[in-house]
Amino acid sequence: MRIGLIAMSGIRAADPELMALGLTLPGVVERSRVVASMPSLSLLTLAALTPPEHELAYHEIDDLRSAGELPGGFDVVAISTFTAQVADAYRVADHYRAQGAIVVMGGLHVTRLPDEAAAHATTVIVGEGELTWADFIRDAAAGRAAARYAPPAGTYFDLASAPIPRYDLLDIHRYNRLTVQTSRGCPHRCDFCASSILLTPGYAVKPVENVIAEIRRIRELRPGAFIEFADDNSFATRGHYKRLLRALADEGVRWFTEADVSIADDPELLDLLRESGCRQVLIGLESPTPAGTGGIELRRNFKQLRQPDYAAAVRAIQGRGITVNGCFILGLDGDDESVFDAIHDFIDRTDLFEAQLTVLTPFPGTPLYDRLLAEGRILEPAPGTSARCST
Amino acid sequence: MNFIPRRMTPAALRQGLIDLARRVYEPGFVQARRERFFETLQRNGVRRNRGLVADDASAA
Repeated sequence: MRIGLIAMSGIRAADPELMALGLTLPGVVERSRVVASMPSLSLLTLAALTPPEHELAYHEIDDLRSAGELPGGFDVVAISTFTAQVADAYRVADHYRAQGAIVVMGGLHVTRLPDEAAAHATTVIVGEGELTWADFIRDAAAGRAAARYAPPAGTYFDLASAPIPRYDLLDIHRYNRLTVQTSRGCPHRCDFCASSILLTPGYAVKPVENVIAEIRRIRELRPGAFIEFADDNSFATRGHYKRLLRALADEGVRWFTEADVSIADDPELLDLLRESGCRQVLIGLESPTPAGTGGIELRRNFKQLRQPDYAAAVRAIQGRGITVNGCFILGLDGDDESVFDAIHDFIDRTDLFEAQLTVLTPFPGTPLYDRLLAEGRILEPAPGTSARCST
Repeated sequence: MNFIPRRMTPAALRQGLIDLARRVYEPGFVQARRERFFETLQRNGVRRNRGLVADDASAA
């Protein structure tokens, strides 16, 4: 079969007026470009799990409006996307289905709203794609692809089995950053989080030697590449990550990851971060106020518990020469209009190197979405959800 | 925005975002923070590596 891997993971401005009013500022555009310029690690991983008799082609659509003519001639088209671009992804799915291709969709959004995706895709893969991709490919090649593939309940992918993603499918020199996943999941349960905790409830790490092998493969293809760990929360298992950081120190890489504020508690970890080439950590601070951080993290109120330490943590991390990209969520239930000045003040007094501002977004499948839906506070419920029926 | 905020109006949230983004990403404010960051490193004897800025992909 000829398989097209179509990545659609750019950032979309849902409110053109907001863009016109000022969100074309350099800082916003800069981070948008970084996110949009990273390849789809999920598709490259599935490519590595595809038997060699099939032909693979990787194609990215940054913006469907300016994408021009889509590549054709595929027997199977696999589309990976996020909620922000899912409407465009469905148009692409419709396009390829009309051409007679088998269209398979997966990922976080599709996993939570498989019926919505089924209106456009021939096949929907629910959950971690590594677990069912081989079955899908076998069935598609035999002309009997099912409408839906999902792993048995309670089955999760072992990252020790993860293949090296097919970075060789990329026009690799066009990428500013290349991604490596070192862990999946998060020990916290923030109500808004629509990341890998929607796929796996636990926290799993990839063995150190596998991570190093992936980085070496990237650097074979693109020497000097900047590496972004595609993790939701690195360093949750300290012993493992200290081993990884010691191994990384010998590789001479520059890298970025996402973590939580607790890394600042561990001076040895911070030293290892510095020595291993870490340039920036992104931390979800969410709000600089006790009220704003209250109740966000559902297990032990982690964010509110740690909010008093935020400023000292930023200083401790940045004091090692590692910049912090601090993320704030606007519109949290505990915050009133005073939060805008509070955020500006926090950024100013901590010399926060980069800041990311996001409006609270209730993604389907999250506890936040279900709660706001029950309270009648969702303006446009996702298809298939209503105040009586949570996702 | 696809929800009704609890402690401010949707219009106040939207305007607050715009005003805060203008302030936070204002080039002079960004530059001042970065200069202070580098000054702190220098004061503490922490070496400033090339490529310290995450997206300086050309740095060695």
